[in-house]
This record gives sequence, structure tokens and C-alpha cells, in this order.
Amino acid sequence: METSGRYSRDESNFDMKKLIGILLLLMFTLPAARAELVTGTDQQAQLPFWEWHTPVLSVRFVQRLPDQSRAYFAGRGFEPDEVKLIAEHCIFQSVFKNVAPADTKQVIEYDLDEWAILYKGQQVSLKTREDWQAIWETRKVKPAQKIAFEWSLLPTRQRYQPADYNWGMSVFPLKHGSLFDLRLKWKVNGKVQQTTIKNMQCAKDVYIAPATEQ
Amino acid sequence: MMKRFKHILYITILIGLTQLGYAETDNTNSEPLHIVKDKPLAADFTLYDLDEKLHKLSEYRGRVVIVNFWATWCPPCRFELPSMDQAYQMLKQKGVVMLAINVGEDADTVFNFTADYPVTFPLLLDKDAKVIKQYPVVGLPTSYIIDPQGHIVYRVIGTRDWTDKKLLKSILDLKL
Repeated sequence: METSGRYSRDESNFDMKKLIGILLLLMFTLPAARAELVTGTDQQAQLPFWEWHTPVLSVRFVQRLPDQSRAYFAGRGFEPDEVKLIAEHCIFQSVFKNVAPADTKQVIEYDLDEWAILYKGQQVSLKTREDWQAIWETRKVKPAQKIAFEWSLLPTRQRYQPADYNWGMSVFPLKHGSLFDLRLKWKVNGKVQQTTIKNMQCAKDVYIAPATEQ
Repeated sequence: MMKRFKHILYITILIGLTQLGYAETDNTNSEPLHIVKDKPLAADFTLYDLDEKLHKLSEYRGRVVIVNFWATWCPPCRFELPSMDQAYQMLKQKGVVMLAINVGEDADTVFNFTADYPVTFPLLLDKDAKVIKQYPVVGLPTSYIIDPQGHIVYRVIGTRDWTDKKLLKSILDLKL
């Protein structure tokens, strides 16, 4: 009995040590690994959004209606054909932030060319500033419009220290209303991290008819 | 058995508190300006403001200069203008210069914009985006703090609360 009791106590101590080890490990790794996807309706835009955030990074995509893009780029002086071309794409307003506390000195880098749109079993790239620059060159778009377009898009590559962030449109070469997954990749202090946001959806081309006179 | 249960209970409580502490962590940043490595000399430029007054960066040597790149259509740019103006009211008395460089828009657009966002610091026009290309800017807004010797000392991507005491102190300390 005694022997059995001793063995039992040893096992109990072993279990306890193991348990403490696991719990301590969880204690230190859980906060770092904490990451979640939040979706809903953006309060300002009143349109769906997808936001991935970790203790270091926050990246939010808010749908833009094709009509919003038409109005915006027409307002920037683009010709109707160019406005039509832009608005045929699936566009999101995106906000990329380094949300790490300042004392952690965590630097985030990303490159849109490393992101991938997963759509109907295919992998597609985002249409970046550089892709559009080439299009505008061939279409002989005026410099003022090229400048407006370039700075309206999310930077292709960026490096953020704590509290830094950018807003910008991201352009997905997909049809209105398309459902897709987005694979994001970024580095925190040089270490590569990635995630896939599933079931994102491009805004539909909603036509709101003017009110008829009574 | 009871002792073991207590151990587990204590550890669970400890983890709970740690997680709670994490959830309550204040992610606001107390160090709002980022130091620019090697402090490069700021590229000189000459631009007109809305009142057609010419501003040459190098003529502000001996003074701290805040250079902010912005556009009227950029929501965060609009967001930070009021706090920049508040800060300017304090900083100009100490000899600090604030230049907000509009990228790619014409004087009429910027002038109309000031009806909704009145500011007292000069709004410069970089209509052909030549000046912004001389700086390592890839997104708007981006701001640089230039010391009296003409070196870029701090950089900000996105907005800040320009009335933040620590931020103001960092700027004013450059005068020493």
C-alpha cells in the first residue's frame, strides 16, 4: 500500500509539474498567438467589413460600392472610360495598422505582391499601384489623374513602426459580388506570419433608382 | 487531492488574470514619433502656398520644421488637421514651422476644402507630386520633423494627436 501510495504521489507530482508546465507555456504563448477575425458592418460606410487583428497588427477591409468608386474617380478628373474600367473591379477600402505598444518596438512589413486572392481554385494577385501605372501609361492618362490614383491605393510595400498606419484602396481583379479567400502575409521584426481570411465578398453593383415624382 | 485542486485553481486564476491583464493592455502608444536612422538631410524644395507665398525649406534653417504630406480626399489627413492646427498655435510661438504639402491637387480644390477644415499654418501645393517623390513617402499622410540643421529626425506614418505632450516635447527639444 505504502509503495503504491508513494508511486501514486510521484505520479501526482509528475502530473502536477507537467500541468504547471503546460499552463505556464499557455500563459506566455496565448497572448502572442491571440489573433482573430472580426466581421460585421462598418459603422461609417454601412457596408460589410473583414478585420484581422493580432496584438501587433490590424488589417481591415471595408467593401466599396462600384458607385462610390465611380463618383470618387470621376471627381478626380478621370475620363468616363477610365472610371468604367476602375469600377469594373472589386475594390475595398483598407486600413493597415501597427497596433503594438510602443515599448515593444515591433516593426511590421508587408508586400502586396506576396498576398494572394483564392478564387474558384485559382490564385490571383491584387492589382497594385505599379500594375495600374502601366495601364495608365498605355491609355495616356493625364499626370494629375495618375497622381490621384497612385496615392489613393494602399501602398504596395510598407514598413510600420508602432502607431503607424495607412488607409488606401485595394483592388481585386474580381467581378462584383464574388466570394473569395484572401491570403495575407507580413513580417513582424523580420519573422514571416500569414493568415487566410475566408469568405470575403466583393460589393455588388447596387443600382439605387432615383425617387419617382408623385 | 484537495491540495492539488487548490494548485490548479491558483494557476487557473493566475492565467485568467494574465489574460485579463492582456485584454486590458493599453495599446495607445506613448512614443508617437519614430526616430529616422542616420538623420538624412531633408531634400530642399520651393513651393507656393495658397496665398501664393513662396516657401523654400532651406530658408527655415535654424528652426524646427514639421513637413506633412496630405491630400483633401485622404480621410486620415483630414482627421489630423485640427490637432495639427492646435499644436501649431503652441509651436509657432516657439519658432517651430509647420508646412502641410498637398499632393497632386490644385489651389481651388484646396481652397474650397479649407472652408470645412480651416487651418492657420501654410498649405503648400505640390501639384505635380515632384516634392513628395524626393521623400521616402509611400502613403498619406506622412510627416517628417526636421531639426534646425536641416536633418530629418522623426517620421510619422498615419496620424497622431499633435497636441500630445510627449510629442510636443520631442519637437521642442530639437531646438536645444
